[in-house]
Amino acid sequence: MTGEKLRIDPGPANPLEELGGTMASDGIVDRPGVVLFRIVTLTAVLLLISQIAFAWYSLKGFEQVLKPQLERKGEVVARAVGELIEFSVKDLEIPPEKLAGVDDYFRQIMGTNLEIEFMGLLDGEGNVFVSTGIAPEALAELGFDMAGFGTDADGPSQTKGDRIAAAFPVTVSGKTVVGLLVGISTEYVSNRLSDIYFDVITVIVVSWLVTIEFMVFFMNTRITSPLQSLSIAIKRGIGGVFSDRLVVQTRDEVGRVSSRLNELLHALQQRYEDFRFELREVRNAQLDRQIARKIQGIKTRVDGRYRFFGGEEIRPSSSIQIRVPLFLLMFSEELSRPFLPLFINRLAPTDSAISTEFLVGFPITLFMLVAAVFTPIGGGLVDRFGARRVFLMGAVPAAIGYFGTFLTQGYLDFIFWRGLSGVGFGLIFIAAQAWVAENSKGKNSATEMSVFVGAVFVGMICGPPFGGIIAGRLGYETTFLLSAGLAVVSGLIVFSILDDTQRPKNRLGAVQSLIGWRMLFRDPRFLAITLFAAVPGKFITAGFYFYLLPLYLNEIGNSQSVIGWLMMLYGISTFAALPLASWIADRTGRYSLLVTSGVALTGAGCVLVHPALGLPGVNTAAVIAILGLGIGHALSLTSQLAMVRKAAERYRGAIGLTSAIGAYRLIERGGLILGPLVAAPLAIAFDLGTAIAGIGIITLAFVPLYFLTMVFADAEVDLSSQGETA
Amino acid sequence: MSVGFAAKVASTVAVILSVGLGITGVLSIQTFERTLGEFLSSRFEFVVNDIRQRIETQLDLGLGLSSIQNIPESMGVYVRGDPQIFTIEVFDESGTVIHSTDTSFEGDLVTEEWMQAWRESGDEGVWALLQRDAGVVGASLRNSFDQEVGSVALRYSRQFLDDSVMNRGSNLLAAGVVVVLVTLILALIGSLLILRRPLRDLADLDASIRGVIRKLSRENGSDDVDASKIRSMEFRTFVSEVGRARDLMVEARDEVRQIDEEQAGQS
Repeated sequence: MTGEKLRIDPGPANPLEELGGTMASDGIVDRPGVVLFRIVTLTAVLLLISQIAFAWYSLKGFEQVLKPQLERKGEVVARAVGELIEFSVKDLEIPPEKLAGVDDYFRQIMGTNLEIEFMGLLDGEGNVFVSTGIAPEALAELGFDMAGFGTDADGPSQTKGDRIAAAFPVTVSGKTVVGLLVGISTEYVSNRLSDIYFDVITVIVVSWLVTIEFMVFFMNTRITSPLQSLSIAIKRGIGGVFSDRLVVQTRDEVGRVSSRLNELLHALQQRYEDFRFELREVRNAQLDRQIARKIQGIKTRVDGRYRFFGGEEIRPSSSIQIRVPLFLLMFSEELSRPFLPLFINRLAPTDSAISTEFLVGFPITLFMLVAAVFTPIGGGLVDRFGARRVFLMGAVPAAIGYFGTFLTQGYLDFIFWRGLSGVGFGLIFIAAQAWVAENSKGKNSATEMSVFVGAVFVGMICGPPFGGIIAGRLGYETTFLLSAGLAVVSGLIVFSILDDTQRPKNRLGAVQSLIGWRMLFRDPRFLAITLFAAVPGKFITAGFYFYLLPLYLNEIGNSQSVIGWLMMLYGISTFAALPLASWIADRTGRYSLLVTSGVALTGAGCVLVHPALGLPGVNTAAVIAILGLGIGHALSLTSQLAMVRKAAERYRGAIGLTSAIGAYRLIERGGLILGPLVAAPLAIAFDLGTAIAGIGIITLAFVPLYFLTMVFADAEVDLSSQGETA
Repeated sequence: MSVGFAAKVASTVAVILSVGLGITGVLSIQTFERTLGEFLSSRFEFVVNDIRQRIETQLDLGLGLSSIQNIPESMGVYVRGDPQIFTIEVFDESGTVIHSTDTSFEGDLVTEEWMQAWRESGDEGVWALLQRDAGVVGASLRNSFDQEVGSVALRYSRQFLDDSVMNRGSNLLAAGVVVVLVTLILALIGSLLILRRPLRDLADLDASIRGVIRKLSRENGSDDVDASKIRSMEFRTFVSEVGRARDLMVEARDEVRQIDEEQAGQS
């Protein structure tokens, strides 16, 4: 009896024929990322358009309310000053043209009321007696009719072209003998509205980033990851492995196909079971051992080519899954950024012998120090227990710390709770990096690492504006309660979504870890990445961005809104440049070159702020420096992490990947401490622009050090490989 | 089936968009409230400064706060001319109200909140508070020896500010609902267009796998699995490999049966 053949109709030999030669094979299983990209692009575009429309509508409404308020201000000024003029003209009988010191008085008023553009004294015929802030001819040409003010038609304000003016006419016997005109600056209105524009742009960017973050997470959980699992099962099947089982977590179309594939694999396994049973029965019935061996040989032929049992469970897991939990944690920590010093100042004892500056700075430094210490400790824990468990371990002290801060009654309580949050933060920070590293595909190291860096930056961009608002409305303490809630949510997401049952086991003993660390610190490449690339990266961030930049932007006359927006450019530029930078890094494999370029770009941008270079425009130099820092960090950060990963791979068995990242992070923090220590004396000795340029020059000095160390390390590797060949 | 999944995506887009617009709305209203508050207090600051100058002129002449003249009348003119102003008060360094447009307050003590705001006003001497029912703008009063002798404070109605914020908030909410509805429709159409082909791919895959399963479970049959619709090259290769695995098992089994039959024939 011969069983029928399962013939598969493969369709046209060349898929291009089927599609009219326009499209290669691009089924959803082959390219699941395309669907993600298209849906996220759709969301991003729809959100951007709707937000711009919404913002335009709201700004129009704001303008309608705000402009009349300026007119009211003009009217109040006109009435207050006009009464003095009236007193002088009517009661003291001083002729208007003889009034002395009026110009100086007007200037004084205009100096303290920036919304007033000009002031003038005119008679009923429009003859100008005094004009301040505008030439007399120009004031006369504006054609404000003094007699018309105060009538029902005009009210106390008139508008001529784009000028608005309020007036106070002084009448004697029904005739306007003199009138005070107060012109409102339309430029002031524009400036105030442009402040709101900057705030609204900030709002749009922040909510846009948050939205995209959640959309990517949703699409990844629902579509991309399950499809990738499906693709893995299919690829393994092509390789002859039919023993796997897909873990199905969704009940939609993707889940249905995954279940169906499981049914297929089960049917195939059943088929093999039947085949094996029949062969065993026939073999056992043979008396001739040679025949039995022949039958066994036939079975081995099948077993050698295909595997039907002893496979693994394929679970949807991806580095992107960590993004939202990490973002939420970063966001919860950054919420307190705008008000933390003020809050500490409120809690700090007033009768202490220690300076207030120190009392305010101490908890902030302590948090960073505890987080830095627990980062390498967390690295060891991750190698032992896995990223998921350590993330959950970290979420607990982080949430308790935030909740304790919410309930805090005094300075010492506060220090304790912040320290506890620091423990959680350090553990989570390293666990998230480990998750990304464990779930990355290897050849796309920088791209995968951009998942981590991106989430951190989005949290950094979005947290402070929200924190400021919540603190303003609900109080400082409540913001920490929200942070605690977010930490819990973050932990719950990790608990329910992340699955690391398939993670590589790496249980190194303490002694073994110490040997690993020693080996790592003797590796010139690792030292170059940490000491000459990561440390200057943090040095310039702390010295320039955190310390000098806000002072500099304020000194050159920017408002708080503009300063906030300009500062945000750093995060936005890093976030925007990350995908391209990591793509270039992975595509070319020139990680070291990208690190060098990144460090050089951050330093060079700051040098341009030096006043001697005199770049045109008030903020041009600062914007270039901020963009240089943002883009430079995008170029450098993901490549640094990819290189640390490669360094760790060289000592596989001696040190875990996460421990290596922990070591790198620990040294990197040195830059954060050095930054303000160097920036402060520079700012005292020179002007702020020169101090920023100084920070840039010091950063640039690390470039040749990094470059030479890497050249030396490469030469050493070449020599050793030649020795091995010989 | 395809509408179901697209609807899920569209509803997620709509929820996320609502959150995004909600954030934009809340932050915009916050900015608006702050700016309008600054515009209002700037106007009242001018009034307060005007009164301060008038009082300080008299203080420079050696008069005490309680004996200044014409000032209460000027304060009254301002209050009568601006319905948003509740009261204007002058209090001394102990917080006792010396002059007020509402004379029933004279002799009372101002709240500790006012005193603290005044003390923290710094060199400029201007201070402001936003209380539950009213806004307050104040200015320090200095005598000819540059000593602070008290302060003038203006209480104004928050109603205009609150009403304006409430009105703008309601308008934005209505606009937001319209924008979300329009976006929901666009998202649904967009998702349908984007997901149409992938969902058809998945349906084809499902049908194709079902065909393979049917084939595997049958001993005999004549229908072939039609993989021509499947666009995934990988999946087509996979189905071929499944076929080859099954063929190999069938060939092996037939071979064993043949051996078994030959053995049975010999014996």
